Amino acid sequence: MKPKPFVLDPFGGLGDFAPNQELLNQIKVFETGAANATATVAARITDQSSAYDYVQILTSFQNRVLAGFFAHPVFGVPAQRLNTLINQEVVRAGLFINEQSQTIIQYGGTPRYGYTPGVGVRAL
Amino acid sequence: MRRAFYTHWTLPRRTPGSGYEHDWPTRAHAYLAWALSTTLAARHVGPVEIMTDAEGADDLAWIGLPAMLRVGLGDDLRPLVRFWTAGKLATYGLASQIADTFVHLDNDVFLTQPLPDAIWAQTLGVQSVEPLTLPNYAGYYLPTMEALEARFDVPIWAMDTAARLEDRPAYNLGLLVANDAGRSVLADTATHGLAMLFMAAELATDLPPSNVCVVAEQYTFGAVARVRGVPVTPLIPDAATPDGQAHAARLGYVHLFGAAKRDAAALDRLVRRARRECPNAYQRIVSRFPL
Repeated sequence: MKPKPFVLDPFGGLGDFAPNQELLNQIKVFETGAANATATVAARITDQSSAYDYVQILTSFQNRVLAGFFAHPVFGVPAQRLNTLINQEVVRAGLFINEQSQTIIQYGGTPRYGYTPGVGVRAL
Repeated sequence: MRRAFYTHWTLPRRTPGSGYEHDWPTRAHAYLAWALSTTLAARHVGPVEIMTDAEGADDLAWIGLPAMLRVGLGDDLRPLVRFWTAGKLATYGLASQIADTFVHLDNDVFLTQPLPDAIWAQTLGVQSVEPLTLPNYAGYYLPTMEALEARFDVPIWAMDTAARLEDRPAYNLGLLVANDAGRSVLADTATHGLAMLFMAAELATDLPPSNVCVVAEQYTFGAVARVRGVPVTPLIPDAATPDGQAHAARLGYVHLFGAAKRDAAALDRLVRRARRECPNAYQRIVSRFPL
């Protein structure tokens, strides 16, 4: 199945999240459920669509938290910790967001170069 | 005397489920790449040696490559079958004992011109810098490094705690040049990198093996060089940038990684160049594995 296009929204707005106790609670919830969520998601990822959904959810949440971080640096430490956690979850699920093609691919080679057409090819 | 080394560790390709059964689109392309890359290296570097296992020697002997097939990769690497860089790391260690000045090339690297003298004059030369983190990438290699560090003490990283993970240098080693002063870095890279892979084989089975491979090779090399205070000189800037592409083309340096192995135009260039540069090997290959 062809991957859905992925549009990165770096700062996605604050949305429902305010940089306050609610943010910290969300982080705690995420930490608590991260291991179980990863196992569940890894089990149900059978095609690119579900992989896309998973990464989109994680990234959306991550971006909103980071938006809070930038608005209120006092929350920088937990927000960065959450950022790391989310990244780890994505890696554990074997997923990777390709920047150039705006798609999600599964690990299977050096991820960054999965869509890079070599180097110096025209000299061959 | 300058030498060129390659690695042909066949165990991952012979092991179903290892994740490395496939590389080139056809066996013909794989053998043509061997023929062309070693022919050009023999012309532009010097004697060529391919470090391999017994099956790998059988796999390549019939082509008539301008290279010595040295069976130096043994069964001791079997626990590392999920990690393709184990073969390269072992070759780094062996090559550092064999030659004073050498280049290690991947078989998808083609030197269409001699390497610049400046790169040979350096203690260590590499293809390009490999960033650890990239904007908009979901973690890239950083989470793998963090996970590995959290699970066991990696000796080389313990030596390199002065730098943040993000600041530690790493390099794409499609090409790796070492002169006499740089050989010890390669030997240490092999020791620490293989140790890391043996630990990962036991303790990090849930992490993407290709990420672990890159960390064990590229980042271990960067860390060893940094700790030892040995400078590393990139041949080209970041290979994924237009500037890097321009530099590579100007130097005649070709690396068919990533999507290049699935790109019809790039593969056609490989076939035509191999037919021109090494016609005897070409005929043997295409008569056995028609394109």
